[in-house]
Amino acid sequence: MVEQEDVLQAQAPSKKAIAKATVIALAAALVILFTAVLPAEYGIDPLKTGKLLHLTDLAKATESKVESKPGETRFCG
Amino acid sequence: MQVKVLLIRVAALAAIFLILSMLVFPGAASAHNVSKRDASFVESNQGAAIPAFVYLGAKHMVTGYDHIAFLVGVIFFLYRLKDIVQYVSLFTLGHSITLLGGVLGGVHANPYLIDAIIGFSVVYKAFDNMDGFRRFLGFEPNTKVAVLIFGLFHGFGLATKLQELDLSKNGLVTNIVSFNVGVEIGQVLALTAVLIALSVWRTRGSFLRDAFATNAVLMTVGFILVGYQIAGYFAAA
Repeated sequence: MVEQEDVLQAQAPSKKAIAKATVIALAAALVILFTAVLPAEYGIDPLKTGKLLHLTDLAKATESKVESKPGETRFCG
Repeated sequence: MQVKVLLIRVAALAAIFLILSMLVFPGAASAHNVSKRDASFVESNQGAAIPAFVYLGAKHMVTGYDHIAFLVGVIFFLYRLKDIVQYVSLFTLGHSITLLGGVLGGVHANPYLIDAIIGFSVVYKAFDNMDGFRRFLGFEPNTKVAVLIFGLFHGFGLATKLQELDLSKNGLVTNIVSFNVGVEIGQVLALTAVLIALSVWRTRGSFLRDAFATNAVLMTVGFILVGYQIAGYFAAA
């Protein structure tokens, strides 16, 4: 019985649960973006976590490479 | 039964190939960027190079985590092979149209914005899988149409990236078609790996229990992709 209820709950989450999960997902994404992704990829470091974890070094390394080869095209997507 | 056994063998081989290819190409770790070596090959290439472009297309898809994240979302609740084939065909139709049309028609778009939309497609599908549309809008937007439309954007992204490279006019059509064929091969490989993992997981009770949380994580990935690309758009400007 308990398992069946679990299954039903998993299939029909409430509005509140969906809203909560969406907000948590967005918040987690923002934290990861500002503490790690943006410092490492672009050297954008508003919280100074990039400097603390030396992630901004990654962005610097990419920048200097780009400078040395101006004709180079980034191919991603 | 024989066909089923054969299918499982083919799938297992594909998965092994996928894992091996990831080990062989360290470039896979940096995911979505085709390596400089590949880019300079494309730029220096003259004339038709079918196997090379098939390979590049397949590599691009297998190592492209945003495409794979979207496909995970699409097939998450698809159990029947018939449905999977239908949805994946729609996705393929969508991105083939814009990949071929985009490159041949010379349509240029900002790669960051296209990639942001691709990231958004992951968020959209995760929200859909969490039953969000039916709960909040009272109806679920046609999932097949959504997959087709996002397929168009995924193909447009591929076309934009290819056009950043100076492609030779010589053998262009052959090379683009080859790249597209490669993309489909890569998609089948990636999809096979995802399906094996999902199938194993589905035999356990934890699948339905954790489906909601898994899609919330998928949504997080989508949001990160969106933020990464939007920030890139402003950083590049």
